[in-house]
Amino acid sequence: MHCPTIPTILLLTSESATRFNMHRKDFIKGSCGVCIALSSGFLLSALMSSCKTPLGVVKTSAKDNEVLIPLTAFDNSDYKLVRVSNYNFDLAVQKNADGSYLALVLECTHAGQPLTKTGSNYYCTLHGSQFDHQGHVTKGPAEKDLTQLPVKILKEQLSIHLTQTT
Amino acid sequence: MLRQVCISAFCLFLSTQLKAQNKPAQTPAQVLVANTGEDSLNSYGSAHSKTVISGYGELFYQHDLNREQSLVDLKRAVLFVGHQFSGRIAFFSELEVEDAKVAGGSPSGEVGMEQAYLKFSLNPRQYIVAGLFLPRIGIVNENHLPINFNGVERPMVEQLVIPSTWREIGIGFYGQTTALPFSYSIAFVNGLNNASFQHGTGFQDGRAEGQLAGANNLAVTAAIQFFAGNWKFQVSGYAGGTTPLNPRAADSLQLESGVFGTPLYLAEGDIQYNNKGISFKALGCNVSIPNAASVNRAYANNVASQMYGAYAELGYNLLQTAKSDKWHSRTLNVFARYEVLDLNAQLPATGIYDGTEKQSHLIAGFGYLPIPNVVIKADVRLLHTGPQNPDLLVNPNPNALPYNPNNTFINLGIGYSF
Repeated sequence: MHCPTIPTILLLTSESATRFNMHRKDFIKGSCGVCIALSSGFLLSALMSSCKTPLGVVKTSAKDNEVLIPLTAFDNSDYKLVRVSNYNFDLAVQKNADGSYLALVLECTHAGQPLTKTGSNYYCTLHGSQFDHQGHVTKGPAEKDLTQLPVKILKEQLSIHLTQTT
Repeated sequence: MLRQVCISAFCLFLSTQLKAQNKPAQTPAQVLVANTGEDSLNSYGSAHSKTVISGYGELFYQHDLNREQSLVDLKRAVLFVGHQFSGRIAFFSELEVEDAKVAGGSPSGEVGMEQAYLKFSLNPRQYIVAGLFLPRIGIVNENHLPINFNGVERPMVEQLVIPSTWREIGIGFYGQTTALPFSYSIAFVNGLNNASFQHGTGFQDGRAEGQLAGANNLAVTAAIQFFAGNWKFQVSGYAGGTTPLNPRAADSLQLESGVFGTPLYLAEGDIQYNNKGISFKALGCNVSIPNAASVNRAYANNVASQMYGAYAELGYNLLQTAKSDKWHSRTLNVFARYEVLDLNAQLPATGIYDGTEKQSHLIAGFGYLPIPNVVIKADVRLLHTGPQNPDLLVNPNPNALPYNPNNTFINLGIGYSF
């Protein structure tokens, strides 16, 4: 079967537009409509995909600067967003491939703005700094990596020691 | 007296050392200039008040091929000062000097507050700002550091259609959803002033930027951001009155007054993608002033009833796959961007069409970041406009060359932020 090349398609489209006496403006409007429809479809698909895997949020409180999270919280997901009452920033806690845990304070090290999770990375809406999933700076103006909190495993719980942030 | 000074100095030294042991290291630029030791409202987190200083700036060289004219300018140097009063209350400010200096009587140069607001954190994901701030409209308005956009010049659409940096006085609510990757914001700010709209500059001259803004009219602006993998989507909007006059004065000019009188509407959407050194962004925006005819009747400033702009940009970091650590930590972005805009897409009966306001720009170049905070840029911008309207030439210069709808600009620049 003959497969039309892109120039052929453009020619055919142009011819069709002429045949149906379509105005150029209408043609552009129609094309834009198709583009918007396709973009909307993509956006909706991405949205639905994200809704299937919402951020796992653990709400807890600290005692003597220590937060305890049951290890079972990581049974179905290697990542948890931890919100500690009276702590100014959320914590990102992730289980690494080797079974160790990493706890990051989601505070931009540039000007102290709370960070937004973007895919597996973090983004500061204030000045645009970006950090990777390990907390390393990937885009300035931040110069320092995210603050890592000391963690240890106590029986069946993950203990995170809270320190003052930047 | 000397003894007291020595004891005070020793205590200060001891306190500094103890704090240095207890706190994570900070960047030199984020030096704790003042630390009062005041307890925060919270038990944990940023438990001490602190002051942070940082800033950014950019300098450029531009050669205009048509005019055979070159220009160098310290475009802007901005000093950022922030202060954390407590865990929940902070102050942010940016003081900007444009074009290096402001001399008496000189038309160029500007010193202004780019931002000055108080931030009240409600919880880790929601906060309120009050003061002079940059609403979340477009990409560059909020993230305008030179290290964060490709090209020596900010995208033309985000200069001419969405003026950057567009700041107004108001109150805003910002937040992120907990379970889904959404950010949102809504803000109420002072409105624009249609008496200051000028032909050729969109609505940017109608901004008060914090200076004696008429507050009879207001505006509401809102944005939603959505993050999916390496994609970021945003839609934002603005709706506000443009007549700050009292009803009596407005009536005498036959202008609609009130909070949302003689409205201006702006709708914007953008997409950004970043992954493995590839970056892509696209933005489109539309501005509508339904009562532009009334504005032209009152002020004869040839305001359009509709303007639009759009651009798409593709970039790639050539050092993304560098094997040596020395080069992998650096960035060499090559990019191309195509922009279209029309500041008089639709005119009321009282407007005069100006073809030079319908423009397309093709920009291609590179940006080299030896470290993430410093950038060296070079690019070429090809400009194409519609024809000049001779009816708009009130006093044509007899020696002026014929208008050329095509022009080329060669740009070099450096930028920093810390």
